Amino acid sequence: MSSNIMKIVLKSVSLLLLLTAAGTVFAEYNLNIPKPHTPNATVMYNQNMFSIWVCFWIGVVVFGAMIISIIFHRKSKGAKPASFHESTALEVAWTIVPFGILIAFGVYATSGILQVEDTTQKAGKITVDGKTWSWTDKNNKKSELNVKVVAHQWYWTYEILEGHKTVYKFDSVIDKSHKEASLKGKDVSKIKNYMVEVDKPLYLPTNTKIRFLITADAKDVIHSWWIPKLGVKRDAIPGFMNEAWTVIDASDNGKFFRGQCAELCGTYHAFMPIVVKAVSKEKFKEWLAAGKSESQKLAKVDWNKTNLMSHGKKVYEAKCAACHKPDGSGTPPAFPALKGSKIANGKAADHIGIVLKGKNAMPAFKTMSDADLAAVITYERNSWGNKGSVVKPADIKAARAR
Amino acid sequence: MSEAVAHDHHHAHPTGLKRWLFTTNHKDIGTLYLWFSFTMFIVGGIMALVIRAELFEPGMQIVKPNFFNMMTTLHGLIMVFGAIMPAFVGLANWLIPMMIGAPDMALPRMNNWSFWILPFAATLLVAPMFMGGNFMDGQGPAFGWTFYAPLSTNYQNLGFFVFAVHLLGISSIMGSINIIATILNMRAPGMTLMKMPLFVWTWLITAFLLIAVMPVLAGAVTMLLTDRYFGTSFFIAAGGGDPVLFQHVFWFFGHPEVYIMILPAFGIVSHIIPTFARKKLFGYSSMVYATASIAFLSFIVWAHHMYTVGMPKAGILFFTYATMLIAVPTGVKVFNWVATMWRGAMTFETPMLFAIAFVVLFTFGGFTGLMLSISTADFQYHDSYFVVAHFHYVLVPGALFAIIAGVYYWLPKWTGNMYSETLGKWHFWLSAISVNLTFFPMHFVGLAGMPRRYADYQLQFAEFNMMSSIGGFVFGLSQLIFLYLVIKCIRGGKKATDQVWDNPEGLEWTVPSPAPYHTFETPPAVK
Repeated sequence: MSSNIMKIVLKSVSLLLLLTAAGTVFAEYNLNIPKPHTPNATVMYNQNMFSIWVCFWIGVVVFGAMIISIIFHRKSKGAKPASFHESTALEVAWTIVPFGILIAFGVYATSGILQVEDTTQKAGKITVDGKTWSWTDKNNKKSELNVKVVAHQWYWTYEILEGHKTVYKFDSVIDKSHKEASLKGKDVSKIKNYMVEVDKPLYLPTNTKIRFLITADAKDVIHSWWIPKLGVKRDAIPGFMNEAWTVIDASDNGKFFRGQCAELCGTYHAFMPIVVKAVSKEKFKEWLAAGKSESQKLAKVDWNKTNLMSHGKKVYEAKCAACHKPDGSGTPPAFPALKGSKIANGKAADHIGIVLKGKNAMPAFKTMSDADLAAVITYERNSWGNKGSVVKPADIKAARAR
Repeated sequence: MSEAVAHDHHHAHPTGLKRWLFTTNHKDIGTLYLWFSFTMFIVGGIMALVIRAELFEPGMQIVKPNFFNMMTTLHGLIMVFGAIMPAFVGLANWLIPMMIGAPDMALPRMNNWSFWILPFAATLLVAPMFMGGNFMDGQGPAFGWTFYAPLSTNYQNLGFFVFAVHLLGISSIMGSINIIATILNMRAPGMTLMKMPLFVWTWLITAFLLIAVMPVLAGAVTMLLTDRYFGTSFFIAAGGGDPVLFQHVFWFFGHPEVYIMILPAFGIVSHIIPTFARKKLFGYSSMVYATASIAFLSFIVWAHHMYTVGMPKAGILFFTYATMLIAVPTGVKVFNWVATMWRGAMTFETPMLFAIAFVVLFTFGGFTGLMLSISTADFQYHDSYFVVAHFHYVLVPGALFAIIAGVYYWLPKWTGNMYSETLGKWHFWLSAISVNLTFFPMHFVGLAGMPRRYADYQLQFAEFNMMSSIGGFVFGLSQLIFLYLVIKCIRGGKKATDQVWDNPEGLEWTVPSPAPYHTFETPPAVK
């Protein structure tokens, strides 16, 4: 730690030197909301700019008067204090004028809210600021594509819906190497997209009206799904289903949009990024088909011990290792060691119960698939010298029914 | 002049520790509050520096994520409930009786009690930090100062937190009752309400706000307590509860709370600017009405902290409009201060410098507040560093600068000695520059997309975070000048006159410097 402090001192000194040497050092950095890519993000950006300029000019007037006063009305310059101390006319004026400015503000803000909040847009196109986004919706439905976003501590589950049915569901977890580099205090300055890379991004089709249904698992905590360039930020709240909408233009095909969880959700709040890739409608169909067949394949796997162990290791590292550690040693007392634990070496039913229902600080994992759960529990029961029984997907199914 | 001193024989003062434990004297209790507040300011400040050290560059070098969250949580709670609020109560204790010509507070024993609760509350709040064996695995609260359910209901040591908040609430409510009772009953003959000094007015309104919302906070934490330990489900969705309800209840307390931390600051600045501009405060009565309007509006804007929870359109519109309205009375106050300065004969002693910095930087915080009120734009600002920048501008160069300005302004009256103007100027300039170096870059990282309460961040935010960290350390260290200056001033220095400043307004300047232990045993006459 003391070497870190030395490093900090050295860096501070060098940064200050750099600052004095060249004032333009920050020219390349973002000073504002990033360039918007959707109708809603554009509205947000414009309202931001509008309010910045109004505040700027009010500031010029107020601070200008102050500066003039500070320069000229000082005792050292021989100023004699005036005796005036009230004026009803002035008080009325500086109540009415700001009120008038606020009415303009209010009218402008209202139009923005009505657009952003209206997830039922049916027109097939929307024009903001001279730029048009269009979508082709033959059936004139509220939305062509519904995507359910479910938050967990600390990852996102995406479900592509057709009607009321989930046709493809997958978890999107922060890239392991980023998390490890961060937590171990490694040099991260060369990592591309540091802290905003996931194992599986969410693909979204362009020229499509997309509706997000955002929630969190009932036993989880509140999160918030935020992608600045798409202009979407909605809290993911247990027991609530929030809506947001977007449409991405074809010119953004192939682009990645990155975001992060915006509501404090516990220890690894900073470690659940969001990555969306915009693709053409055709590409999206291919991706969806591949996803569907992958999950079907997973359903057909022969879940013998070897397969369970190898799949379980992957699931463990994505979902469990943050607290229980890759070597099963845990972070006691909140997250006990699994290595040599009574539960992992004892009755399978108790082990399954805890994973499904959660315990104290540990959330419930019941939204994971039977196969994932069976694999990870088997992995925990047969790693690090543990000698527990093998758990099959059917055991999980049975346990859920109880 | 020595009449008050001569009467000071009816009971012997206990000395040493007993004097402070059993004191019912408003000046002693005021002093206790102020030192407690300064201690908490240092504790909370050290936590802020842990945060800034960790965020100095990307990657986690110093603490673990949970410890980081614990620091953000305790920093917020300690600064709000331990530093800013007790500092204002300390100033109220010292000044309100002297400003209205009363011999003491109306309820002196309760006054003692409301102070002595505080150290216990602070201990309960911080204690879990030292549980859990290894210090870096401490188990203090780590759910943010807003303690949103259900993150907070999952917390194993919630009981400590809940009882700490209850004690803080009891202390605040008793303090407020005392202040209201004093102001309404003990004014010198002739001091009508509309002749009261503005610090007294702003505190009267603040005290009513406190009495109104502290019980709401108590209700919120009690529901958390029963959710955690007694099987209720007020805020737990799995049991049919409503996590959003918590936010409504919390912010119904929380928004008036932020005005509780700024209204007395308005009062202080309204005393200092006229003194150093050598001109009467402009628009006294409009200042009173504006304060009352802000207090009223504070009750109907709470959900602007929750634009992203998924409110109905009508709700969002209502809270947008109501929030914008606050700009009107706040603007009136700022215009009045500028009009007071206008064509005055200003000098720039340390209290005036801090007061001017207050007006400028608080107004700047007000501008970002106006931006945040616009719900559509707020969808980008919400829970980003932009919000952190905003509320630190209104709380640090806002509330804190006003407190510091007040201490400089009345310190000669309290101690009988002038403070060192040279050190005061050093303190001011270092603080004013570093506070901006700390918080200004936060606007940029927030707009560019850095969420708040993040232990680690993207590389694009690195440079601005480094600037903030350097500024934070300079700001923290500058406050040691203040500590040294105050101790030096207590121990001696150039003797202060009774008036201290050039013809200041107010009864407190009519008593000797230092103010004797008992003042105004016979009420003064107010014209």
